[in-house]
Amino acid sequence: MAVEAISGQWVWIVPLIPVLPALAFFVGIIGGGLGLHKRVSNLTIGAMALSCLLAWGTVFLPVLLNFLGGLQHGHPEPFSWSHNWFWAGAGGPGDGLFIGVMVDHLTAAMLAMVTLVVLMIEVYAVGYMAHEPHYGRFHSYVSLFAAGMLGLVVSNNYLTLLVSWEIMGVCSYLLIGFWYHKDSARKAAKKAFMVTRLGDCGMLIGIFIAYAYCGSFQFEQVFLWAKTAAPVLVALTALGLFMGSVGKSAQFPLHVWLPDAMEGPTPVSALIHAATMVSAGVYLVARSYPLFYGAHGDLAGDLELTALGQVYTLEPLTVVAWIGGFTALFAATMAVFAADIKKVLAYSTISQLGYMFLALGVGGYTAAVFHLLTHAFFKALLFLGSGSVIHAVEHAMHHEHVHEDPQNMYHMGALWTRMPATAWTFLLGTLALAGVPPFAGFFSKDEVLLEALRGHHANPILGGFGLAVAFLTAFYMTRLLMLTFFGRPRFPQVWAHTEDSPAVMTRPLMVLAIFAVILGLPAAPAFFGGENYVHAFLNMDGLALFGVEAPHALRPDFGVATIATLLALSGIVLGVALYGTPAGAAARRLAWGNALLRAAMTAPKRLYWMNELLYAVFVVPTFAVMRWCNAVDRYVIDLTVNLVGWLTLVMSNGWRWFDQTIIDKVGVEGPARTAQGVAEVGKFAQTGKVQGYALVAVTGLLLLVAVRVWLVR
Amino acid sequence: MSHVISIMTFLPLVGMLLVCCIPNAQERLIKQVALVTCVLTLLVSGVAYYQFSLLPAEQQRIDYQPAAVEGAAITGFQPPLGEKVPWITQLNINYEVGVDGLSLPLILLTTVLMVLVVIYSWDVIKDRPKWYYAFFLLLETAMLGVFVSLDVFLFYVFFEIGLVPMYFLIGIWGGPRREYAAIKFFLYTLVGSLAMLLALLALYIYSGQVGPATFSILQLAAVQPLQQLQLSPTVGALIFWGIFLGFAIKVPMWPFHTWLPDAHVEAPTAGSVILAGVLLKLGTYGFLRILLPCLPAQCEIYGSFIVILAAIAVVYGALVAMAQKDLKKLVAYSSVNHMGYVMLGIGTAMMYASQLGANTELGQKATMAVNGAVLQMICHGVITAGLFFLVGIVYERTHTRMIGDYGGIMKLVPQYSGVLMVMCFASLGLPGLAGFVAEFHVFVGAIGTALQAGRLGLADSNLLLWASCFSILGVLVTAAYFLWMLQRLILGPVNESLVERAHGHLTDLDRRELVTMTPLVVLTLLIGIIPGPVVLNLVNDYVWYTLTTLKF
Repeated sequence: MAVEAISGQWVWIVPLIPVLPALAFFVGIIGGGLGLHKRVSNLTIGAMALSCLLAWGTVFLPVLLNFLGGLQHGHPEPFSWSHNWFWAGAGGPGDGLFIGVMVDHLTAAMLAMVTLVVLMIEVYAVGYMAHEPHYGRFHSYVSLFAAGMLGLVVSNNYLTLLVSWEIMGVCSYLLIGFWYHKDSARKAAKKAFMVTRLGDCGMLIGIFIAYAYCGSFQFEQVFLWAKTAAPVLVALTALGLFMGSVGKSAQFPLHVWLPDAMEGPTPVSALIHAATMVSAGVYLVARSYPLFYGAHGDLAGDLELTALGQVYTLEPLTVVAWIGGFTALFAATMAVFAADIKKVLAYSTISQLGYMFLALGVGGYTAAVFHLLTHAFFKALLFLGSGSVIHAVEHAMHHEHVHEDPQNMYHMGALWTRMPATAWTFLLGTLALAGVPPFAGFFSKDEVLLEALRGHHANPILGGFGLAVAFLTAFYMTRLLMLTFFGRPRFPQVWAHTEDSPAVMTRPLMVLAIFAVILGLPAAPAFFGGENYVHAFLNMDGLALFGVEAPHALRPDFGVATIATLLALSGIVLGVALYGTPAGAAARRLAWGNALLRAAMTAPKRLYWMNELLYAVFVVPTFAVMRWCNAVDRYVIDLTVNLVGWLTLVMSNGWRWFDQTIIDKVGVEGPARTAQGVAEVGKFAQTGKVQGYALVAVTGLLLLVAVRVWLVR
Repeated sequence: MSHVISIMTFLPLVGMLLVCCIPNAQERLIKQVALVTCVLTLLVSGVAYYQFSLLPAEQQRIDYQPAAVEGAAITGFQPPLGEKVPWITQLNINYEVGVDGLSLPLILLTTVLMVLVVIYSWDVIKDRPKWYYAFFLLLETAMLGVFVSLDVFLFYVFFEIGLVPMYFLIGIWGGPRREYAAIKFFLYTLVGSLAMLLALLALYIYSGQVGPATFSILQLAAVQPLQQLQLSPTVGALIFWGIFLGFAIKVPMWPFHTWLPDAHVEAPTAGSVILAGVLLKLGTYGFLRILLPCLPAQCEIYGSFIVILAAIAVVYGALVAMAQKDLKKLVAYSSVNHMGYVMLGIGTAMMYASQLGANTELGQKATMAVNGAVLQMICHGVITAGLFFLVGIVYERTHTRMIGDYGGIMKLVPQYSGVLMVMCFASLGLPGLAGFVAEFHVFVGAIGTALQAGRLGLADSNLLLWASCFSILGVLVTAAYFLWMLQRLILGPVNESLVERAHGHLTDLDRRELVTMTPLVVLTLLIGIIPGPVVLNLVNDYVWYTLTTLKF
């Protein structure tokens, strides 16, 4: 099928890719409620397979063929297409909100990756969740999640991007809390949602600013606006969007939710918290690159801040680079000390996402997207592999009545012989992540380091961070491998009962392993003077439309590649030495015995107290204000209302008293009583005897005469 | 002339009279009559909507155009589906009704919710059902009357009539502190209404100084007596704040909100549903129907106060909701929080009322804000009604509303928990569900208006910008309290003492409850996914037209 087809009468195919799993969700959630198991997963996997077929057959492969065809005839034209639909009226007649889809090289690559990884994980989950009572519900949620991620990737505007972004967020919430009866799971779910929402607030403000000025949510319109807009507005928009990325991609300081998110079932960790959702933050920055990068031709000083009498300029991309670089190193040190197999991988994910942001920050757009793609495959592979291990160990522990944590690596060991399929694929994933040539991770990581060390905006400190991370990554992954698959078993009876996972789980591992091995190869010819196909495919030419002067991709450098490889190998050697030999174990004990070293190692082991810090900064004040508001509500506002009511009552009682006492008693009854009282006294005079009356009359007469004679002369 | 509006408005009153004539003993017949009346009213409101949609676009609006004014009287003008019959001729009071894109969605919301209320109450109300349904039917007429009135006097009559049945519904079928709550509700609202009545009378008298004195909203809006007479600002302020108080208490705006939690906690479930779903909207509806068109100049002067109070309500309401231990009180405070968004949208338009017609971009952004406000009225009506139903459903089984008494009920009642989750996520503004579309519009509109106004150099644009950004914090707190509530209520280990309270077994939604909840869930999804055809396109037209034709 030609690439033009999707832009012609087949315009509905692209939206169908996210819509199919969404429909499967609605049917599946009802089916799951009715207790249908296998039928629900058949439906969701079928929908996903169809999506995958559409994504590869009608989007990725046509775009790829178009690109390769162009390559043969010299310079390939970047393919970019988008289509809009009216969604709702908004600002009066003639104005409205549009939603739409787009396809360009970035979308095509992301679609290919996401659909394949989701499909593999869904198949794997058939085995992993087989004995789960809410099996149907699980598959429905995963299907909705897939709809969200695919919707994000095909969006051509910030509105549907945001909608998809939040749908993924709620799926993450539901799936982290899938085993909701566990207290830790329900807390982790809430934490994940809240921390990412904190970032989303910034993202919302960024989107609102852009809309307020350019009147559209379409990427194209927003980027065109950014070309001519005031730098400070573009910078604020970019930083707002990046805040959303920091939350979603678990970057410092909002990384705290991701390790806790490991409470979810392992397929979820592989899908949402390694391969897809967490990389959506990277995708957002890559997609919005014209806002970050090119608006002013270069990393212009975009945001001027005045503090303490001095003016500082803040470049959004510099912020991205430093947050990414720091997070990469910071998380890698925590991965070194984690005991839980999934937590090691979680910190590793944070660290690798940091790598991607580092690359974006120093102008390495292609490197970041390339690393996003390879990382998705090998990290999904590693998570699923760890799930396979946990599944087997948990089962064996249950069988042998050993009540220990099945995720703790120190409870494993020597599993290589017990579960070879898992172990082999896991080894391939580890080599890819550690950056050993010629595995996928080597090539993508090399690009990241190259950009950081030799790129147009290279920074020696950030480059140094990158190299340190390369070493640490190889080291902690070797440690994981040694503790899990080599050495001696901690519980021999459990070990003896551990069996490799069924084919429905190991086959997806193998598919992912193939990609972990080969995905870097298109970049390999560049080392020998040939074409770098990855660069050519993922170049920023498409951004030239928005006035972005993309720097030409760097040629691979044997110097950087050699240093990175040597660092990775030394990490592996150190890992084997410390965790694979008796002398290493003694050395570790010695290190923990040293007070100074132990103090230094406690910080990463306690996660640098970031959880406590964030709790103190965000949760404690919120609760304080909450209590305060509640008290104001009760004791100030409502009391005032009641006081007014009470005063009215008092007043009315007062009037009643006045009414009854003064008016009624004094005013009305008073004269009557007075008259009555006078009468009471006067009635005694009314004796009815004539002599008495005569006496009174004569006395009165005499008195009058006396008054006249003596007083009134 | 179509009588469909009048038929719709007074149909429930006829139903009420019928119910009153049925002997107490025939409970079933009473319920049937009530249900049939509500369904018929729903159908008639549907017919009204259909007839409205058949009108040509330029006749689908209530016209405040100065062009239609001749002297002080309006000629040759007919509001959509309108009727005008002289009522008290000596005072020029008319029975004047009509509908437009603002009132129609609210009318449909009312008629839908009333059907659900009757279905929900079917087996729940055993005490004096006759009077219970009679009061609800009277309430429906009052609510519909408010939404169709185009005469301030008529509006006021319906506005006040609505108090009476609600007072009895809380006072008779309410909880333990029902008398306190009922009296507080009644008196508090009455205080506001009286202030409003005085202000409306003043407006009436002033209108008499520029032509025949009138209560007609259309004439008051077109004639603008206060502007023509050039009275001192104090007079305008007194009239504005008088009307403001009446509506602000009804909304309720911070700090006039404390009657709401008490009324909600004590009211029977169906009462809470109608109270939150429809009665609160009478306040915000009044702001848009009376205050903004009739006193646009005063609105512009005091709009910033409304924005500030709204921003406080959003954050404060959310924080106080988070502090609640009583489930019903939590939902009640969430209403304070959500009505804050409505007032933020309305306040935004008020602040720059005189500029909206002249400046298209500003007008578009303000239209978005008010679109969001109107949409939020509908969404809040649907979502909060659903939440109150859900609280009632679980309360009937366990007889406790304390969140701490619950825990892990998802394991026992998965359907109930699923619906509760959908409603909570809708309320906290999850994209794909109704609440998001409304909140998004309010924020886009408010921030857009603020930035546009700043660019034009209009006053107080920074205030609006910061108030809107401050309100976004409310979104965060809203998410926090709903998730925390879900965590304590339905997730986690099962609380055994709760099962004992429910006499050994907690049952999931029964058929009657499913019938009640399904339309609300469907509406939540529909508005979330395709807001345009469901409601927004209708509202958009009304809002744009009203905001850009305000008379100065």
